[in-house]
Amino acid sequence: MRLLLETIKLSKKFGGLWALKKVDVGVEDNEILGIIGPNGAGKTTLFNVITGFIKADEGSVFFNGENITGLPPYKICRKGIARTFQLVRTFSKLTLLENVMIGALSTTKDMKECKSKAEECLQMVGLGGEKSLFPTEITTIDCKLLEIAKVLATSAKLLLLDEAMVGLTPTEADVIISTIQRLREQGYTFAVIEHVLRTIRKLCDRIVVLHNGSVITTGTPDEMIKDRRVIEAYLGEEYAVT
Amino acid sequence: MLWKLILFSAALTTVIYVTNPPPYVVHIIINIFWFAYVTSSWNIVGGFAGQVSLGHPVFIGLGAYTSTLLFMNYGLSPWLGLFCGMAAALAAAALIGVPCFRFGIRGPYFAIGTLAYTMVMEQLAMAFREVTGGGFGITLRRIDSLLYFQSADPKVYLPIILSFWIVLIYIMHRLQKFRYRLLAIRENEDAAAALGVNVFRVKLYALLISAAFSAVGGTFYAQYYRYIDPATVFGPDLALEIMLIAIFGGIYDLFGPTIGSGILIPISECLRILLGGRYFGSYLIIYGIILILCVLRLPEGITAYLSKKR
Amino acid sequence: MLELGVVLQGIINGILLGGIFVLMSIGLNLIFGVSRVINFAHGDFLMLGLYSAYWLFTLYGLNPYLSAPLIIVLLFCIGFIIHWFLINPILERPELAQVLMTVGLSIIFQNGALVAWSADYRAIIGGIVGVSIPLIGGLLLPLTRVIAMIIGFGSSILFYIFLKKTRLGMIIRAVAQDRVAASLMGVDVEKIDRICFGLGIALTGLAATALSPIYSVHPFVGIPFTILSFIVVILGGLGNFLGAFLGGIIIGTLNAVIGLMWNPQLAMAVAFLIFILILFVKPRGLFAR
Repeated sequence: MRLLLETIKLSKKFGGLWALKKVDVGVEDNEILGIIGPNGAGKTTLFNVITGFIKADEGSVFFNGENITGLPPYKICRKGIARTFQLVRTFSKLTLLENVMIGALSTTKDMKECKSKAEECLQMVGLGGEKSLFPTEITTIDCKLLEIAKVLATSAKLLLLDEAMVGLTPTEADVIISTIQRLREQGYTFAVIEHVLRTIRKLCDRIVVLHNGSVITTGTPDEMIKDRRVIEAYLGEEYAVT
Repeated sequence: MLWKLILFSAALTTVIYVTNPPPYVVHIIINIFWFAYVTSSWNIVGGFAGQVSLGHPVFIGLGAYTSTLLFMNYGLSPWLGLFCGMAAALAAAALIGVPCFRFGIRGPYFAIGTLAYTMVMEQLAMAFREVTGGGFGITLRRIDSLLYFQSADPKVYLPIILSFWIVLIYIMHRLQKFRYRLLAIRENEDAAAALGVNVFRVKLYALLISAAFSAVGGTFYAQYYRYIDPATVFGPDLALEIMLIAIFGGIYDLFGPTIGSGILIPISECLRILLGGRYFGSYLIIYGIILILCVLRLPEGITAYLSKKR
Repeated sequence: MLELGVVLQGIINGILLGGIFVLMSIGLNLIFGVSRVINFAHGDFLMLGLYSAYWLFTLYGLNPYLSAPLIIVLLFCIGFIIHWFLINPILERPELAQVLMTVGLSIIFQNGALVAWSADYRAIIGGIVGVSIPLIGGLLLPLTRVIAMIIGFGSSILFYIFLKKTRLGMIIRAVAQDRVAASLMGVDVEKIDRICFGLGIALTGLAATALSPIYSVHPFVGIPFTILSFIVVILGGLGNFLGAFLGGIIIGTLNAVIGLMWNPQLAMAVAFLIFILILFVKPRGLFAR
């Protein structure tokens, strides 16, 4: 199966420290890939380099067979990769609808089309009824759903979600999980950075484990839990080993 | 929208012509709309895009001096000189915009940088006095012909500035997608970039458009007052006044700067008349107090405050 | 072109004045590095200090150097109060709000001075004004500038020691590096903000005292100082005290030399152009870590 996204020996250095060391990651079409690793492993840096916010020092990124290394963020977005941020970045003075419309601006002809596309995306995540509210007036989980709606509006095929479920209760996290699964059925591909084991086991098809900037292993969630290297690197969850 | 603007302007002009009020009233009204025009133009980059610029006097001054010098030295009608002024302002805008936006210079750095730009132009205009008349400025030749953008009857200037104002407001009203992009950039540049907005290009366009409009304002100023000098058109005072009026009026709103102008200009003119001679500068103290109160109490300007009250 | 003598004199004058710029920019650095406030009115506080020195001298015959403690305390209090009522409430807001607030203060100060004391230039004369120490080759060391340099550099070094060696200095540096961490360790960050603001303004008071026999005061004398202080601070890297030190000397000298070689207006223009250029090459300052 062809890889939708592929990084080849991607490396990034900050000062004297290698944040990413020859990272090879592949995302298959229509899968939900999980990226895990202890804090400081380089997960967000990986996202930043893929989406053009940081320039790689070595290596390349291919999307749909095309080399997108070094392109600026807005161009990568238009190629079909969209991302969310760990700290939610909404446009606080715009309504939910307008927030999502920003994502739709580049792919629609006029304002009417832009608006209806935005409405559609809000519906897809279940926020259709709140489109006239402001981000300050909605709950945390709705904020997370808003972020997803925004990236949907960009018509991206690959959605990179950076810790989309941080700060949510298990029930709330389930809402996000089912939303992502629903969207995957509609053809979208996901790569998600996650910490919570429960989420990973429920959501992800495959997992990539990063530690100190390198990929130490990949596999299914069940394989990963038992992998000694992962446990050693990443002793954080009380759900740990069975 | 367009019809409302035209109707309003036509009505205002008619009233003025019919009632024929004393000259200083006409002057205040023209001044209101000149500032409304210039501050609305500033708002494109300062308010909507959130890039506070103290450099707009550069564009206004270039507009004023270019059309005036072409007029005085080559007899070129300022109506045509106006376009040359725009070209000069566009060049100046690109000169500061491209490096600043390319290197991510924003916020207070951009403000200081543009302020420095203004002061540089002021110094240059003063230094090259063989060309610009230095600190003494240039007094325009009287021709009193509309062909040369002059008139003995000051009332004529009103419909002219109103027309400029209408064009500016209407264009910004129609450029909805552009406005949304600007707002997104103002709120959160990175998020906007991640959603496909070409931040550099949009910011640059905002600055260029704003500069072009401002230059026209400069030409108008020269033709109305028939006198320009570096301290006024290239002055940091002007930069501050524009910023103050726009922020007081409300930078998030299309009509915010206009309303701000409508309130503050009459106040400043009255203060200038009342306290002018002996207490020269006191109206500026009031301005300063208003600015501080605005920051403390009305962060979104008076239009937002009024619309929330409803 | 001008002869070597004039250029050298300019360099000397500039270096001597560098100490004042250092004081101004250390004050600005303190305010920005700690409270993250961009003080557009910085030079206007200097103006207030200069007027204080002038009036104390003219009305009460007080030697400007002796009035230093008074002025320093006065300006510290002014800074403290302004921070309490005007700056603290808006600290959470975007930087623009603080810029506007200090711009508002600047307008009030300048025009308040204009209304109160008119636009006339006022100078302190007599005493050691105009006295110079002769050097070799016809070059002069104006005594007032020498004293200014001593005060400027001396105080800067003392202040640096204060920052490094005293408890309060250490707390200030901690807050400058990481506000959250400092507050988690029990530091009353708000109070430190206020103190630093007051200190920063007090430093302009000290600079004013040293400057008062050299510069005539008028309501708008502060403007170029504000801009030049910003240039120094940004050149040196915001928050970087050593950088401000070096930057102060460089700017002071450049300003004097260019002012002598071409005309003073071009001097400002060139300074700004250099500043803009440096902003592009190294937006975080020449000496930023």
